[in-house]
Amino acid sequence: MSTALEVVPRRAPSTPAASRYVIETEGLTLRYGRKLALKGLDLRIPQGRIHAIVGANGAGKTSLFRILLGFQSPSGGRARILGRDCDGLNEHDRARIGFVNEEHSLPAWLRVSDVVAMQRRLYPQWNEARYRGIVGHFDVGPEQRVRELSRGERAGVNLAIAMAQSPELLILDEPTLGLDVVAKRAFLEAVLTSVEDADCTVIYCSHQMEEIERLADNLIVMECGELMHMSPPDEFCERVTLWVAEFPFLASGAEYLPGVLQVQRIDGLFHFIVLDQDESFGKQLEDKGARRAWQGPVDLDRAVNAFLTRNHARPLPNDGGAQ
Amino acid sequence: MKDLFFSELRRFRWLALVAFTANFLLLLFLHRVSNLLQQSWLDALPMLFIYLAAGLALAIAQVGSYRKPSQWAWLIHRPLSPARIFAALALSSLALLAFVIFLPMLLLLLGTDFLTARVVDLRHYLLIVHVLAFALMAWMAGAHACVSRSRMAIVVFFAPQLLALHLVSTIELLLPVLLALGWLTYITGRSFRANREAPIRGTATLLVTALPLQLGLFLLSVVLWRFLFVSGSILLGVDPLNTDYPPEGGLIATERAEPSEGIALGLASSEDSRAASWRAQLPLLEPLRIAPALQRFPVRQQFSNLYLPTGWYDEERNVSWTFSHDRMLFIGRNPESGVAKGVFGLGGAGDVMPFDAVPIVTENNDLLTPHALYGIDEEAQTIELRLELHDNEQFTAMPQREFGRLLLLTNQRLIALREDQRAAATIKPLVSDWELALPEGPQHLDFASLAELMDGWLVSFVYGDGIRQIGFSQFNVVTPPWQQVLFVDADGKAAVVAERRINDDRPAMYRTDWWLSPPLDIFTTLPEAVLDKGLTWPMQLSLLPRVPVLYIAGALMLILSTGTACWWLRGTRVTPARRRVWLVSCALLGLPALLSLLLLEPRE
Repeated sequence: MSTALEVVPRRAPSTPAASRYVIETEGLTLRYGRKLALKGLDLRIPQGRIHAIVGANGAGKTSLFRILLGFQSPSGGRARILGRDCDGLNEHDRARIGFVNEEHSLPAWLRVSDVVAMQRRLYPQWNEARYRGIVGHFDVGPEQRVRELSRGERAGVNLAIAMAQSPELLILDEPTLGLDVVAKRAFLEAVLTSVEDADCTVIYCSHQMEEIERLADNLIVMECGELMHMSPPDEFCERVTLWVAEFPFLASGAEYLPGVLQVQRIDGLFHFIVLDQDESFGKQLEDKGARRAWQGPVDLDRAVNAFLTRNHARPLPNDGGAQ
Repeated sequence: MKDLFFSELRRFRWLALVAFTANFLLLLFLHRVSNLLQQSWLDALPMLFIYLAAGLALAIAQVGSYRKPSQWAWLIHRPLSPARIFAALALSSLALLAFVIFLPMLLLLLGTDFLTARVVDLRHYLLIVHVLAFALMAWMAGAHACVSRSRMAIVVFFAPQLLALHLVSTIELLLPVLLALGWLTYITGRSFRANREAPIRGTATLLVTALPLQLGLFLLSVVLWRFLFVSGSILLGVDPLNTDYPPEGGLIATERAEPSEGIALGLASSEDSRAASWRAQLPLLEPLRIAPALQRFPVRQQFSNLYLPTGWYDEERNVSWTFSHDRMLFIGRNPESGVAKGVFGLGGAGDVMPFDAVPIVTENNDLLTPHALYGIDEEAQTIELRLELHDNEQFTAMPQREFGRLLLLTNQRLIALREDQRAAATIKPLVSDWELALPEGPQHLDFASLAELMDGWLVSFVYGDGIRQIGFSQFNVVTPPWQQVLFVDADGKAAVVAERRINDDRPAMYRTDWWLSPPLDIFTTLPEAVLDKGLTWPMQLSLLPRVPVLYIAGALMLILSTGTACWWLRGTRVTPARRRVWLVSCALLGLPALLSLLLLEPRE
């Protein structure tokens, strides 16, 4: 018995004025040879707040950013950023978009003060106070050379520079990758405080769910080049529920019930993470032979993880040598 | 833009300082060992290659470091147009290359010019400008390859060299060099855009970008084809050049034969009654072979010296005479003390009358210009005109003194002269002994062989297939090889005594590469035909050899290229107009156009 899981993308409430979207894509497709990196992606990200994009490796996040920033042409469809076609971005458009990637590319041969001076002259709307405010989270001296900075310090300087440019849209592509706990915390605090101060929309891409949970006002889940979900994180957690059941025997077939994302056996109990299921799911479990079934709390990390791994091999409930 | 420019300068400042010091010290050392300013182009070429490599290495280190997507994003994603970003990088590289390459050479030149009596001409100052331009071209090509989809784009470097790398006047070369540099700058500037993978926009830009790519790919395919054909022939054991026993009666056997054997081969088919007697005598004689090996004369303000002496040393007076292209006369200098020793003009020592052309100094201390032979009277310190050629006639070989005569080969005649021993002058006047007009034009002549008999001379002319390599181009003459033997009697009257056709042992495919792309083959010869004025065999755009297999190969190449292009274009998203441009290019230019299509128009 198998039941296809149907995931209906939920979208942010539609807004009539198109200009209110910082990012709009229609049928966006990107093909690498025979592989489809983006499959007709329709995405509209409204202005303001922090929007987190999550997805497994190969979900198409970086490809999406490359198209949005004009570094790659799509195979089909169209993409607009801040109301402009992505393949026609000029220097004025780029001044409105900040971009921080995981590598925190900065000229290694320059001093921090030189890099900052260079950027200050490039961006007329440079906000020195904001730069100092953010870089203050990190132990970075202006006379230090970039090559002497740790990865976390480089990330801090990069974020401070990006925010001081006063962009209307800031794209952060896995900015905390490889940072230690202290640097990561400093970085997240810097993002939060700076976004509160500035009228800036942030697109935040990360694999770290605790960061998303802490930062994101809006959660965008991508999978295999498609948009799977878009809503505030709380709403997503409402869609995903945890059911714990006690079965007297194995191989009940309960893992094939509609909406089951993941089944785990923990301390003799079966944990079912399910999507878009109401109270009746408990009854269905009981129909499959469960002695009892009850609902439990599920955090965002577990919910997203279950959501993204639902198409992978299902873990066998009798794994682990239990009776 | 200014910040980015200075940032790039700071990035390479230490490396530049080290390279400047190393280059300056090396130049000083070499200048002490030999006179760098008068070295031949063959000696200068390695230095030019080193400077080209420096330009290329800088491009790879500088622009190549931005090739990674994250670095590219950092460079391009800023409120500056890509053109200005490119300008900042290019100007910084120009400044760095000028510091590392141009400045040491300029310091050396200025030092030599103002502190020594050595000859420093305008051409030397222009030469270092050209060298800087070449290094910058290498940087442009490297930068273009770094930001292009394929690193094969580096082949665009070859095409401007066709235009710019010639042994011609540095003044005349300024325009081609600037054009070549401008061409590469335009191509590289256009390749600096956020989306490096995107097809080139605009048909005009596409054509300007595709043409050097196609020329470069043509040259590359020629080299590859020659290598594959020759190595394949050697492997199969059918290469006529790779054998100790070439086919009898063929051109290779004729070329490899001793001069006496070569004349005998020509006489074998002679119906002259004296032929048998001559053939019997030949092994006892020591005939001379003379070939039109003087491919070019130096031209005024030439880019670099030829591998021929342009000065002489007067041992008696300890004066080294070096020709100055600015003053068109010789400048004297004591090689030990470096003290200036005056000038040597057309009228002799102290005379400032200039030569009308840059002379070559022969082994016997004669001076040879394209149209005249002068003798130097070292005792009297004068120069005598010994022979002046007709209009449109010029020497094609260095004079040879054999058989008590002075033998001269021009593009119209073979001349034998005697010195008038009755004259009292140190430089004896030359008296004509005999001369032979070349029947088929000089560009066909492979070599001549002369044997002195008791009652006259036997002279053999072998007209080869004319393969010769000049610059990037290989030239092939249409006429099949043949040999003519003449008897010149004691009165200087000549009669043809034998003629024979010679088999051309080299396969047609070996002799020419035009079938790979006929228009590009002609295109590659154009700059040499227009620019190289010092050539003794004027460059001619020869007709295609009448060999059916080459026409079939050429037609097949065009059809296959067009067909493949048609298939390839189906998988791309080019507009119908652009598709037509590509198909016409492939139908006209063949394989190189197809290869450029594969590089420039990615398939979905």
